[in-house]
Amino acid sequence: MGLLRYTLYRLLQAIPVLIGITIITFLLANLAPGDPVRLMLQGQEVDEELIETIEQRYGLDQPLHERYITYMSGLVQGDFGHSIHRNQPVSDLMLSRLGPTLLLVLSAYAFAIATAIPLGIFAATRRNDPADHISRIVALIGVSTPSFWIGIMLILLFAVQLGWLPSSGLVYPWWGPEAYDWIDTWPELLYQTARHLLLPMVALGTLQMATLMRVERTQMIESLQGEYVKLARAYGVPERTILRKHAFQVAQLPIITIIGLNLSTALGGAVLIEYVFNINGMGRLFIEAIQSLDYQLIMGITIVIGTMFVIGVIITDISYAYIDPRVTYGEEE
Amino acid sequence: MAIGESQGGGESGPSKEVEAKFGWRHTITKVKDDTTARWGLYVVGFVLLISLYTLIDSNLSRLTLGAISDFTFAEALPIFDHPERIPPPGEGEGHLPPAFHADGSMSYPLGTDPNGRDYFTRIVYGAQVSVSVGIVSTLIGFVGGTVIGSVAGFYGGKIDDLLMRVVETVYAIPPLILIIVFTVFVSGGSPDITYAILGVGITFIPVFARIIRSEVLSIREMDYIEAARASGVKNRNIILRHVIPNSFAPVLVYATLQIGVTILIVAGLSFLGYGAQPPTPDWGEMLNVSHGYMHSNVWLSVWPGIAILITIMGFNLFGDGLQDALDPRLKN
Repeated sequence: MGLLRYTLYRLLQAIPVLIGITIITFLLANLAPGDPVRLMLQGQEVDEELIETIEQRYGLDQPLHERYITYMSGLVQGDFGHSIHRNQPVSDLMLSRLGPTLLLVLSAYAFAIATAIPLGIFAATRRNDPADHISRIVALIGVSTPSFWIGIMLILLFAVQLGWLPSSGLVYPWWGPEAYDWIDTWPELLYQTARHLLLPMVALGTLQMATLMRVERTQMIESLQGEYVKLARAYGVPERTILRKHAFQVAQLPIITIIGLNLSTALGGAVLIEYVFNINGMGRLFIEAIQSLDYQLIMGITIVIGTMFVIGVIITDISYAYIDPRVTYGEEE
Repeated sequence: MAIGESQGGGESGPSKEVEAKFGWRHTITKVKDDTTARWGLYVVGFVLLISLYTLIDSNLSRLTLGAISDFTFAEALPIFDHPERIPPPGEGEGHLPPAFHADGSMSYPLGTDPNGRDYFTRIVYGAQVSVSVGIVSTLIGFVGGTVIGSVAGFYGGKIDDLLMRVVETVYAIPPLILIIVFTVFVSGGSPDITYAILGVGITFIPVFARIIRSEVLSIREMDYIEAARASGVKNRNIILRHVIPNSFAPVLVYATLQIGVTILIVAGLSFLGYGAQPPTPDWGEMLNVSHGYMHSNVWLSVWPGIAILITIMGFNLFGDGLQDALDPRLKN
């Protein structure tokens, strides 16, 4: 099977999962006590006729399975339904929020990978040294600290106390400098983006960094004990080359899998980080939707975030198959 | 696979060989020898003791839940010396800084919250909420997952396929998002900590089920299961007496690490206002409240986070150590 066919195969495999996501969110949103319209009104007094009219207009008086079929037939055409609360199509509401979340999550990943891999290798080569112990303690603290609290601490230190960095909002590079009257040039725009992104990126990326660092360390230790490393040493290959060429490549494969699977944690963490840093992304939209019990919007966001995760896993799977020649493109499941 | 169920007859005892390897005594000895696990156990034990103490002391619940405290936790401890105690500021009159601050008082070692309640007492009390949330919701996932996972793994076939599809789907939605949706909708728009515990527990059932399943799959092929089958032991009894006890060790490690993850998620949930509700002294909820005072009182945001960090670190250390102790392959 070629790479292209493997990609197609993985995409097809993802379809049941995507359908599953819609079923779970649909059931959760619709099996709630009380109907969606009444729930959305949150106990406000409105006359029954109005509720009935709204329900009829949005097909909420139909039985559950028919509503699901209606919803799904819209969904396959890219129609996420209409937010009753905001009186806007759900897809319009979500589209402008995708960019900030992607920027945040991807930069957090970049930060995590760029720091975790060198630190993990460093710890593995100095196994049981003080440096190794310190790095292990740092990783332990990293996996044990809530990301939103790291965010709060970073704001308190770098924004409130020192005043070096902004504590909220993002500057979007895709808007161009014209969109901001306080920014004139492109370099300045990118500089401002980086300044705004730095704290949320570190807050969201720390957990990923710590997780990856632990895996990298274990993998490198295991890899350095492999037969091929022993052979290379016996041939007198310099230690640096062994580290860079022989041990490193093999150790990276599990890392790729972890990166894909951790996307779920990162996307969930983005909800909290966007809340703390006032970033208008999908996560903040989710909180807003939950606050107003806007169930169409909640379903849309859950489905989109679930899809983002599925796509992320497929990308890592494909890159895994691409990097490791031993993988036979899923001929054998 | 046709499995003889009707024959009845005698039941064989647990395999001695396997019991020696995975047994409780073996685990306890290993944990005792492992520095990481021991330290984890100390921290977890410390937090557990505090939560037990706050559970027993009814005075404490009165003063943590009440608007203004007439008695503080520090005063109950003989280690603090505080002859002149200043009255706490009333609601809305501002809050006391921690004791090391010039305006602070040893009666309120960590100061007071915006409602004038002693912050130290609330932090101490918060241990009970976090620990019970972590343990109860992990138990829900553990028990549910063990039942579903062992049945699916043992019988295989359609039940197994269905379980794996559900697991893949639940994996795809970030836990925090799934739990918020669950909590908010199932509670009918008024979430509280009970729904949060239930939501976290149910969300992690498939994750536990998957781990149990893979263990069961390997145990299913063991000779002693074959022997039990041959001697006509009923499937239900094979699962209960042989499969579950022998697949226990890896799940136990996972459960310990999971308590930490659960506390982390529920802290996030409470921080957003979908977990513990005021006036429950939960660390996440306290961070939610103090978020509004980031400029006026920095310290309010610091303490609950440190408490969360220490607790989760304890569970993680213990889980790591347990893993080392139970899986000798990882040790060297």
